Amino acid sequence: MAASDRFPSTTAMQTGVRWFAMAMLLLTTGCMSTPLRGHRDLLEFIADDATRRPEVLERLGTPNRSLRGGSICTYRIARDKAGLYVSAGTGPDWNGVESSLVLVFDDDGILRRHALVGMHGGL
Amino acid sequence: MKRLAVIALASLLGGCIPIVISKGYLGASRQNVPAEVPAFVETGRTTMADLVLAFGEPDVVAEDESWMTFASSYSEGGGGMVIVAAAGGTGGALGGTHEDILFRRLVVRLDAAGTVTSARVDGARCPHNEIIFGQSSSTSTSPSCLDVRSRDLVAADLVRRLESTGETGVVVFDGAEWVTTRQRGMLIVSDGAVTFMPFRGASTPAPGDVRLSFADLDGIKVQLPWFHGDAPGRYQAVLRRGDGGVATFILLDSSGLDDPKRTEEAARLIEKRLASSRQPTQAH
Repeated sequence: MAASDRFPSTTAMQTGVRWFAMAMLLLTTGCMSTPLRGHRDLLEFIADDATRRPEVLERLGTPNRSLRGGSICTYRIARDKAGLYVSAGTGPDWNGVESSLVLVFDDDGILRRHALVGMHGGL
Repeated sequence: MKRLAVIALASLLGGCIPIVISKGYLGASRQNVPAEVPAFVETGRTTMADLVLAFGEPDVVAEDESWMTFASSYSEGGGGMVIVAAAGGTGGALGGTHEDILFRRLVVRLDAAGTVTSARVDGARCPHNEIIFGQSSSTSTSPSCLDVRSRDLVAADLVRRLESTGETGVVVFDGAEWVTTRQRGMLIVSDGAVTFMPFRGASTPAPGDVRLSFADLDGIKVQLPWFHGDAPGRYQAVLRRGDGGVATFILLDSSGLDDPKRTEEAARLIEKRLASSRQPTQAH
């Protein structure tokens, strides 16, 4: 038996590999994921009577909403496999948002109270 | 999304497909709005910070922070039917769905110091229908439904502000499209002018907003739909300016579709106000 009868020719094999690669590419196109944005320790630096507003802005960015002249700041918190991250947006669209982080500062910009409020409590 | 999937499946299979809409909060809705004002909320004591710490970021806040709202939309379930026919490489669907949506909105008013002056929970149960015809679908929602964006409160603030600056006879038409710029916002008709304020979460007109004084207008007409090829045009109100230019607007329904009846209503009001402004002042 000739070798060519037992094994596909190199050209045929290359074509097969190409078709397989193409098929895999097509199959996985819809599954490509965006880079993970979350951090496990995103909110661990927050402590009442200690954390200052500049540190919050540096770590979390501009708040989604700022009230009472900046003394109340809120951030929309979402989650991916890597952990928590700040999600953009304001208004009544809470798609993908897990919770709302509320920070209340005093006149000196020191955090006095905070809460992480679940948006899916189902009251 | 579920409905689209069902329609897509129905298109593949052909025939009559029942649709069941399950109970639950709508995808974009928050889920922590109480049915009643919570006991901890006390007029004159509770602050904005207390409320935001309890409920999270408000959905809408007045420009001057004199009120804020927390709103939710919950589907009480429903169903419908789609009949799909396919032949000769093409297909179409006919059917519809119905569901009842329960809207809930906590409205809190605050004084200048950020202390609660009043709190109430509004609720409304609204029918929501979706009609599927051919390869498109249209929705209709009862006008009695609450607006989770609280545009009604923004409009009321706007009327108050304009009246405080000396404007009289202020009427606000929410959900307007200024055709020239394709912006959506509020059309404001007063005894002296027509103003268009684009949506921007504010309740104060800005210097850049369109403001047409009746002294600068020649007239208004409602233009019937005309045809561009096979496609029907839009039922729109055309304001003729004194300088020969035109400005056009269309009013929309709660689903964002053209609403000829409201367009006509606004146009008639402008026509009436324009005529009144032209009447000579009686000498005493």
